[in-house]
Amino acid sequence: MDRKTFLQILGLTGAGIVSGCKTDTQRLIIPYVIPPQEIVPGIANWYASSCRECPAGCGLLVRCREGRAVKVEGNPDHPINQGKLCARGQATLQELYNPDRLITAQMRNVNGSFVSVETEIAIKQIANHIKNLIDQKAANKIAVLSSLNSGALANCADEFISSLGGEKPVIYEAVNYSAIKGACNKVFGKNIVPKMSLQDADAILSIGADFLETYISPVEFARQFAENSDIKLGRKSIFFYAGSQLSITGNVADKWIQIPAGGEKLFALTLLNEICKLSPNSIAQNFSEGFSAESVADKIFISPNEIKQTAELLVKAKRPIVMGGLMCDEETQIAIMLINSIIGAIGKTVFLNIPLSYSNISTDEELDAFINKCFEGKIDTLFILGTNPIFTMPKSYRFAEALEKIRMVVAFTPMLNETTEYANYVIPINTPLEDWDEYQPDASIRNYQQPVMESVFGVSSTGDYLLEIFKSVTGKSLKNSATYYDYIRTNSKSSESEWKQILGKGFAANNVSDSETIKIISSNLSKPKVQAMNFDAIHLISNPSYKYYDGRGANKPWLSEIPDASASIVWENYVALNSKFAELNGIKNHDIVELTTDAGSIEIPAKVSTDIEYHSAAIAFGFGHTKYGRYGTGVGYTPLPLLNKNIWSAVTIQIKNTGRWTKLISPSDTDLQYQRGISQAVLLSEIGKHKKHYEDLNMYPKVQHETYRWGMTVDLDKCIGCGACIAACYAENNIPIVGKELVSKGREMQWLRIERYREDEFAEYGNRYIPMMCQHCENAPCEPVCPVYAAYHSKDGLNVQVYNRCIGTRYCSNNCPYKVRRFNWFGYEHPHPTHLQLNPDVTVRDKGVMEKCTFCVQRIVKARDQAKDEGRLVRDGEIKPACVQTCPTNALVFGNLLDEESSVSKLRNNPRAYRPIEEYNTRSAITYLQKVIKDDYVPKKKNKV
Amino acid sequence: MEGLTYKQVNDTVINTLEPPRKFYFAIVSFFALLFAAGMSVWFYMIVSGLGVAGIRHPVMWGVFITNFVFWVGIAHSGTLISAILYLFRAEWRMSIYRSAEAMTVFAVATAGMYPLIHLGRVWVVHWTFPIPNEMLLWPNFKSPLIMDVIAISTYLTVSATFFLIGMIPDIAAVREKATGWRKKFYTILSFGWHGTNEQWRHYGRAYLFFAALATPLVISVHSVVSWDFALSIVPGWHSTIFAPYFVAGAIHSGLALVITLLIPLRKIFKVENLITIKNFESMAKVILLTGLIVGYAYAFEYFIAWYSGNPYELAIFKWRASGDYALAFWTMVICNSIVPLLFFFKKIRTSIVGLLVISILINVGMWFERYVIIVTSLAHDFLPAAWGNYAPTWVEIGISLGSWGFFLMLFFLFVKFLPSISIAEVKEILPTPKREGGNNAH
Repeated sequence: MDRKTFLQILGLTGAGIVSGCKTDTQRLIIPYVIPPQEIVPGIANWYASSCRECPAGCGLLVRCREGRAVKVEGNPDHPINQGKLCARGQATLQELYNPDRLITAQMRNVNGSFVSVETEIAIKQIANHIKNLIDQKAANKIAVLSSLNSGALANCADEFISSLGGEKPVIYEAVNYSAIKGACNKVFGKNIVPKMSLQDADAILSIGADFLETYISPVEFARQFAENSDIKLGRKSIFFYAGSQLSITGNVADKWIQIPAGGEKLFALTLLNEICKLSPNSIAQNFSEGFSAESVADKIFISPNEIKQTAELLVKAKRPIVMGGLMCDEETQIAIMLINSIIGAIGKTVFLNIPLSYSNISTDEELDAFINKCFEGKIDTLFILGTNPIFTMPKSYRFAEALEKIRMVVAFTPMLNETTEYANYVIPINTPLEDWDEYQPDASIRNYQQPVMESVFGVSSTGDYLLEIFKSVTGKSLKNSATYYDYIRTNSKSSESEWKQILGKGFAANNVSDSETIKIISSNLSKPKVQAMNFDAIHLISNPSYKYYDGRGANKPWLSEIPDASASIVWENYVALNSKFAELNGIKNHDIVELTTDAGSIEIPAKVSTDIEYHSAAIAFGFGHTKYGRYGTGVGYTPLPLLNKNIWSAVTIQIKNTGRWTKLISPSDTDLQYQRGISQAVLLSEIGKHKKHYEDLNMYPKVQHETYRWGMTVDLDKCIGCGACIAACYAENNIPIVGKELVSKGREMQWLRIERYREDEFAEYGNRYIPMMCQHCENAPCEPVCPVYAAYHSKDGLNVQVYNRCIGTRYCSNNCPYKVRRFNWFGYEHPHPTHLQLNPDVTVRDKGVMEKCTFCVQRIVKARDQAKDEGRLVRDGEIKPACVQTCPTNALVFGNLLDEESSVSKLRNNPRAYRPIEEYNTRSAITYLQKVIKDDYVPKKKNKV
Repeated sequence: MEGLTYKQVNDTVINTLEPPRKFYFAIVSFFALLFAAGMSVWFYMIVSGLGVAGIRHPVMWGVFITNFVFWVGIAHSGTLISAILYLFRAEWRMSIYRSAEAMTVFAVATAGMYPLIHLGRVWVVHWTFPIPNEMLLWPNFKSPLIMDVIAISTYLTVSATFFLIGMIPDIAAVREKATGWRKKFYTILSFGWHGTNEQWRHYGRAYLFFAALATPLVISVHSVVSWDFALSIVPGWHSTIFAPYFVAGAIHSGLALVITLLIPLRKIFKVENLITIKNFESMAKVILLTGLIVGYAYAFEYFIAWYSGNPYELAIFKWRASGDYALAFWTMVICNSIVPLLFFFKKIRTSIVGLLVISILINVGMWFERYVIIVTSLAHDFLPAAWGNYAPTWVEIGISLGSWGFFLMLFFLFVKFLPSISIAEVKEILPTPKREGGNNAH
């Protein structure tokens, strides 16, 4: 063989090997031939929108990458939330990418089961049905039952139904403030729910109002509340919480007045009476006559002094406010509004000139009238827009039976729920991030939503469907709007340039009338009726869950996996019982108890604590869905069968231990700190006094950082334990959810957890929270033990984990005193389409590697590179890790520790600063600031029995 | 051993290598199957993820590392008996050191599997070795785990070499009688041994050097293993007493397992005349000593926990004795430091039943010692909110049984393939044969 032949053969063999290596993973791929103008791969687009998880109406900025929404954040310019967002808001992405959303319309066939039909065809059939009705001159038999929409969709539904000849839509929300609306009507002649503000409030009394969780506008309240109690500014706003259960809100109160469930009315009336003694007012005097502290306090197991002290506090304050919770009936709210008026809150903290969207919710009477009409056969066709009343309405409404009387029920909803079980047609709609909409949280502002991405399931919006039905029925376009977008556009009454500006900002301001002089009108007030309640019996109240709201959040697994702030329980709820009561009745944690009321009975596991008044029981509402997708169905228990017509009011219950047992799953075994000083508190007068100093001893030279050393401070005085940071971390860092089963085995993946400890030093009740994430120690114990340098220290002070290098010895986790490292025990799935939410800037970790908080290194790198390009250093506050960005109370601050002027450096020198397990010389980059307890309000010490 | 002749020794030992009965095959196949089953469970765990085992946050190490330390501990007695006692000229080691050495090699091999089994990504285990690569990435020599890799591989190499070298004259003796493929096998392993004077001289020197080389390893390997724990900051692990404490514990468990294995071995092979009760008594005496050292270490840990004033340290030791793992803790204390005290009685340390029962109890106790140290310290460390208890699942149990299958399979193969008692050295302690009426000594 000569050389040439050899080379020929060699080449041939080589070619054969190359072509033989073709794998069957090769597919035809098509590049962006004409890329969309806005989308630059690798660069995020931000769109302004509005959060619709509750009616508070926070502004959103949605981060989109390559045409899909990957993260939502609060809109910093929005006046309501100012860049902050709660856990529910963060989890709105899981509504968008919920794998159980409907793709096509569902139609009930003769057998009573659903069949999929083309949405177009379903819409046609519905339109035909309505046409027939109109032909039969029965247009008034068409009705709309809607969730709270104020703005374009409300107008659209209104006009749709009135143009067809039907009656005004009924607006139903389980969490409604009709009692406040009624009270304002009777006291001030204004039939509205007023805007309230804690801005600069120096005395706050909450009568069961959980304003940091679900009450009216929780993110706004949380921010304002935290600003008020800024110790550095010398502000010492006083907050009293009168209620039966120590909620997240009650937990941050200076004083918890333990009144039994159902005792709110007596408390409010007595307080009004006492306030009248200090600041006379004849109408109020009349209204509260006979309710003196001495005569009433005993009945609700408090001392008269507690009421008098509260009255004094409120009268003396400059900007006080009293808020009444959902369980307060109209007369209680009248008393509260009278108090607000006497103490001068109106116009300062309560704004009757700014009605909230809640004012539009139909009253109970309107709802009853509607249901009666159903029974009378006056309704033939009902459109249900986005609401799920079967889950939230107790039996006494007989709503399910009413629906069965209706010939045609059309439900517009993104996914099947309890109410769609009674529907003839289910029309799938877009979630708020996928479509145009307008929402007015209060009279002063209009939020605008725009489709931040193409509809995940290719469906359309409620507005568009209504317009389409209208057009096929009447042949005309409603208000000349071909699409819902046109409708909103017309509704906005803005010029082209204004419109662009509005969309860019996400909201537009409305002019509100200046506050007029508000007077108490006496004519409407009749004497309050107080039923003789036997407070010795146990009363149950149900609160909207701060994770699921009225139950709509139950399909979002991030929320389910965040441990509940009161008892650290995941994926479940429970009945909270007083520990003394439980002991006397032989009930222990995890025992299944049977609760019985006049209305019905349920079985539910018990969780006992001192955080609930002796005569009270409480269940979080929103759990126990029977049909709500794979994540929501069967999670927890609903108290609905027990409840009265007003589901938030107290009911007398009997409790029986069934003798059975179930394990409530919590990621932590204990809530005691064993004097380890992990979550510390300090008396206001003793700040900085008992500081321990640890010598900075080390055999090795100090770590030298170049320009930056990233660090964080966590102000425990501001942290309320709401879990928004955890939800934000889930969204930003592609953290998988593992489910109840695996949480019980210690396999949860949260990079950031909120540790909950009992207030063991100062009080017999209450929780102390401490967010715990990687401390990015300078002297990190995890680093030297890694055999392959997967854990190492970066030059800007980050404790970096290299996933690709990790071999999974897990020694780093063993040696981490903060136990913040998470191991990928399995390869976790992200079922379609939830994988679309994954942040492309963050690696999705495979099984067998360790992971942990990175301080959102992707954000750091981006800002650092940008600063470098611009030839400057990163500015203070330019980088905000996801948790810091969303924290509603600004408890978390991030920045450069080498810059002495940065806010984080200043906070690090705060006299309240400490670092847990500091004596181990880890020199962590996270500094905690002690929680402050005001000297005058040191709760009673634990009685050692 | 009185009255034995060289020929009898030769014959007795070589007879143990005769073709086995069916029962032997049944036993070996059983252990091989057990091993295969364990490996299948491991494979299942690799495919599904470590989550199928019981290890969890915060107890990231559980039965796997317990087994690792346990087997490394077992591996100690072999070299102790063959090397250290050789240097001390302890004659009672002669008849037992071979099987103890075999046990060492197999135990290190078994132990060596566990660091692999417990890895999250076993397929990149080679990153723990200092292999030159284009990324210029080296392992972290500060990490106790790397020290471990080095210590264990050194120990395995040295003890295996020592084992094979020490066997050369014996294998040559076996070679003489073997036929067929066995002949070839023994010829290779005997490295051309002919028993010449020169060869004996070289052999003797080599053996001494290897003994001297292996001796520090006996101390170092388990010290390094103990540093896996002692070099961390975990309360209950971070302690300077760990190295001597672990070495004593290792000898304790290793000798106990030697006794456990030799008692049935001498019975089956009918070598009671070679492995005598005297050998066992000597081992029992060493066990008595190590048992006292271990008991002292247990007590001293408590003293230090109290004396240091470290609240975390104190809490963990209180919890060990009274918390969720109290049963394991008291099993450990009773089996390791109370039960061996019975060896103070001559009757017990010379009774086969007593020896067998106590040696098994010591091994149970020593396994629990590692379990208690590893699990309890991790379960309750600094932050109470992160505490969590561990219990193994069927995966850990399956793999553990599989590793016993591996060890016993190797040991059973060993006794039929290699002389399990040293012919050459036993002869050394026999009285020099004398000419007596036609009885020719060999």
